[in-house]
Amino acid sequence: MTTTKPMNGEDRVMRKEGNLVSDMGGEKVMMSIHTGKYYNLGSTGGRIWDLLSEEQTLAELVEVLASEYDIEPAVCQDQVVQFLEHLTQEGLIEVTRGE
Amino acid sequence: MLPVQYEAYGLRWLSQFPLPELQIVQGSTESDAATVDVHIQIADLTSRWNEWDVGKDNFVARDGSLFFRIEDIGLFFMEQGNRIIVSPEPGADNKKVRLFILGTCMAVIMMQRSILPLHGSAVVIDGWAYAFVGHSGAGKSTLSAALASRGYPLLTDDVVALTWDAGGRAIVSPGYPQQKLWQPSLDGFGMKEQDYATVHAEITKYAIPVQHYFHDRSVPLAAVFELDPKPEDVQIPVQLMEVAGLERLHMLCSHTFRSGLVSRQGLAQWLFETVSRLSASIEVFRITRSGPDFTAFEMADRIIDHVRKGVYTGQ
Repeated sequence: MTTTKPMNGEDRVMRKEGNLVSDMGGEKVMMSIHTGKYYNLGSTGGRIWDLLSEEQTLAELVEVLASEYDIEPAVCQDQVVQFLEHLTQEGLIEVTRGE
Repeated sequence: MLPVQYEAYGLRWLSQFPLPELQIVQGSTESDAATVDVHIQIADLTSRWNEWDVGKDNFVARDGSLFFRIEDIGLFFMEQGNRIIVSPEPGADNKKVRLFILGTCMAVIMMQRSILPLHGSAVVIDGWAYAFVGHSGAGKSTLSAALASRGYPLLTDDVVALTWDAGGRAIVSPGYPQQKLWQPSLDGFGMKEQDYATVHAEITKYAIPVQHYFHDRSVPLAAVFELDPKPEDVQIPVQLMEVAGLERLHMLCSHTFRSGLVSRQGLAQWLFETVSRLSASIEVFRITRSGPDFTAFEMADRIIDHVRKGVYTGQ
């Protein structure tokens, strides 16, 4: 994924393998087996990670999250995209460009 | 006489190999065999080792078992969390064989049984366990000895065995009543080395029987302290800092006893879940100090002071 071109709703998001995942007092924590780095995705990030157990489009993710968290879809999409870009930079997920 | 039932780390061990460091279960008979958790047997593993054909590697995991070889000492096989089979090399020193049974073998059995073995010591203060982890020589045993001399009994030295009670609290099981101390610690306590046997292969480390200050019942865990001495020559006072969040995970993973054998057995996810759960339920601190002086009593007083201030509120 290039950072110059913003994500759109058709982009498909998938987890990468090789991470240990657990719960620490209600927050999702992860450790990359490849890099040995630790992450705290928090509770909302943890929910997104759970949803990514199967490949999702950005639009599908935003739809579920906007209904679960009672937030405007446009606001939700902005925040989700930021989060996914962060995960991509850390090599935790893979984004495939939609049509 | 043999086999004998022993008690350590919350488990019953029926051993054909004499383990004088451990507590013997009084009045146990052959008919009590149903209460035995782990059998320790002596048998010739040579043909099995050759069958496994492991090449140059000295540690191999397969199907819930771990097999390892130590040059000039013997072969060790741990199976499904309930059996240790030992083949001592002809002429091997029994003390050295015991170091591996009491250390690596027992820790692997714990991992196989989902008991977390941390590398450290623990003492009991006001009904709660406080564990001290750190690298070799960081002062874990010395600090627990200093606390024992202030009247807080030793629960375990070297391996802290953690399980969970029905309410989800982390519980530390008693180890066995012996401490290993280095020469400078004996000096610090005014002990004489000629009174104690050396721990084999560690010629300046002494085995101290501590029956008189051993706590032989399980206790819930309140906090883990990592001892992180700095090597500087300049004296810097003892400092106590809280460790938060993700750093706890890293600390607890890195102080797991024989942590390299965890992922080898396919238990990395189990360890990560276990330390995450532990991190959320206890306090975690780091204690630093530097300089050449013997500071165990100063550290002990800081810890007692901290604990007694009631910063920890329990659950």
